[in-house]
Amino acid sequence: MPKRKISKKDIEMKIREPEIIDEGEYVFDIPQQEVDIQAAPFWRRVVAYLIDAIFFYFLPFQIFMAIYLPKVGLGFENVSAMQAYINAMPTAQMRLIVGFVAALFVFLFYFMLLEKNFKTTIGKKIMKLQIGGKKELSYWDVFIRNLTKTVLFYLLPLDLLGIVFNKGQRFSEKITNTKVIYFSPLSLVYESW
Amino acid sequence: MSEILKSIKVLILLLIFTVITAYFVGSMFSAPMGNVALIKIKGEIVPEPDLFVDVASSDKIISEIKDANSNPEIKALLVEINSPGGSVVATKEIANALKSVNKTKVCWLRDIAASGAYWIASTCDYIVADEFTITGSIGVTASYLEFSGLFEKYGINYVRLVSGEEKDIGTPFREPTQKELKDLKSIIDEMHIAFINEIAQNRNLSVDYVSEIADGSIFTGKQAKELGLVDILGSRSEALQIIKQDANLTEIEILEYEEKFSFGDLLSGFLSKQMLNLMLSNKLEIKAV
Repeated sequence: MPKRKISKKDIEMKIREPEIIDEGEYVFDIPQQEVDIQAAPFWRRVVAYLIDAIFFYFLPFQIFMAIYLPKVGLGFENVSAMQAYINAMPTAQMRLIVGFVAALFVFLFYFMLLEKNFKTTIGKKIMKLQIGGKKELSYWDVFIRNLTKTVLFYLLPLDLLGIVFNKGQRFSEKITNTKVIYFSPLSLVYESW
Repeated sequence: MSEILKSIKVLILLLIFTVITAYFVGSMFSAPMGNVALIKIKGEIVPEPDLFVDVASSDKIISEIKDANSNPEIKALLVEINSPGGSVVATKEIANALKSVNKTKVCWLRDIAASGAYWIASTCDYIVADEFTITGSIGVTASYLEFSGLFEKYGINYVRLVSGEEKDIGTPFREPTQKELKDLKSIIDEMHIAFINEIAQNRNLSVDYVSEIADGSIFTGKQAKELGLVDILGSRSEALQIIKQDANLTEIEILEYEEKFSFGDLLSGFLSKQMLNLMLSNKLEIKAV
């Protein structure tokens, strides 16, 4: 059978709703022999997370601190003035910590909102990653899968161990039956894990 | 286009959530603002707070003093006192905490600032009192009820089993011996001497002079001023005026510490009162009252 030329439009249309045959396998309308599924590199996910963190730091986090810090008496002109105040005032340190913890919840909301609506985030979009494994993601799914990346960040090393045992899925992704998929419409190489 | 609109909606939602969270959390943890800390010493001076009775807990007051001292925004302390005195140890703890503050301290005496309360006031840079404030009472007292006569009347015997002769000193069930009274008195005298020395040092008066007036006598504010125990007759406004001048402040914003009780405090307070009622014991109390 001669290989037909598949256009970018074909690929975009056909891979939008992958059908799950059984766990871990994805079937597309493109003939199987033209698809080469490989394990995705971990670095893509790390870079995607860093991009999300950078975006979050330069926009929502700045807005958050611009409102929060003056309210709790930490609205100083520069960091060194604030540092001097915190050193002199033990209770100020607690207020700062509370602010960071609250900002982590905003970070969680960022992931939840974007993954629920687009199945991807800004960092994932840039790194050509998407959430797969389910047709529709529930709020519970996006909440659980992003907890260890934000609010429960200290559990992230433990969660990442799941990648070793679950064929590339973190434990929280295993619980929600979601996976991060890498796809490049310009080639026929699909990397999923 | 719909994707772009959806993206804009999501971004707006994210920003709204950010603003609301920042505002809400900030309001919950908003810092008290001010440049003059108001330290209130109201009621009997005791070491720990009591949920049901208005007392001046040294634990609480010292934490407020330390907070005011370490806060660079606070330029002065206004110590408002309305207390008859109380525990010697708690009084000394507060006095020492105030002494360690290197900011302007002005004490404002209200209805009563006697005994231990005056000891605390003496550590301030300035003392302002109303002419009818009751102050002084520089001295130490200790007392307990002794029931030996009542027991004898009803044929009740006190069986005494002690490892040392003075182990049950202060027991209400028998008459105290002369030695015991002498020992108790020596404790009182020791505290009294320390009290006198503190007042003399804090007020820049001679020990002999303070000893003369430290017979437990109470004074009005006016009398206290004549004796050198009070600096200015006036009220809060005079106290704030002194702060303004001494600390070089153009505006004064009072920072008042609020008392917050947790559920644990409520429960322990309730239980401690219940235990007190159940125990109904008589105990020796030593007070600087």
